[in-house]
Amino acid sequence: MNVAEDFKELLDDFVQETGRGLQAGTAELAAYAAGRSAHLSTLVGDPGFAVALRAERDAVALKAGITAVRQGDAADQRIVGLIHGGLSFAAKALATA
Amino acid sequence: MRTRHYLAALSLLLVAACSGGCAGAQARSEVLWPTVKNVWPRVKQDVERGAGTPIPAPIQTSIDRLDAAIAADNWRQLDDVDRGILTNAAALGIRDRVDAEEISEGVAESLRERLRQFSDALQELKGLGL
Repeated sequence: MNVAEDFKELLDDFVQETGRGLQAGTAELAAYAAGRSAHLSTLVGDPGFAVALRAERDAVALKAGITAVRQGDAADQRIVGLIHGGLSFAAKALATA
Repeated sequence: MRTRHYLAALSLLLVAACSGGCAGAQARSEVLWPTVKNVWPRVKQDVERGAGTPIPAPIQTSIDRLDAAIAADNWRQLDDVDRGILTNAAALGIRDRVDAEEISEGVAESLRERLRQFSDALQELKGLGL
């Protein structure tokens, strides 16, 4: 049994089920997925292995979603910060004009 | 005049940044929420296992509220869901499965990891972050 391949197949199935791609671009997420796959490898032959396979797939998918939200929030904060700074600068320029 | 143009450009930038849905809200709606909806039925099994029969009213209320949010496809309704009560019950359900020798301790760790990520996901959707 190739756990890594089974795991990847389940992740691909998840994309089909939800119609959404996983935001797997970050190194942190890749490391997390690798860690979960490594844990799965230790469970081969255990009672409930299929349950664990699905649970780990779910965990990686959730982590990917959480990562996407945090990246989005950080990007929003950066944009708002830039705009706020720009508006403050412009307001001062207008006041002294 | 130049400053006014600058202000106008900044205002347009702000509108543009949020007109397509600010990135964080978009990620919640289009990435995390579909995942939570997909995973919930499996987490719910652990919650119901741990809650026992009959399911105590406070736990059933949070289950019903999460089900309602999913039925309405509205993650903003999650504010009424007590994630602590759900995760506590699910943890007991996972323990019960180990005690019944249905799953190994290692498999239980996988279920607990999913539960941790699910709880974190609910927090992110509520916008509280960690």
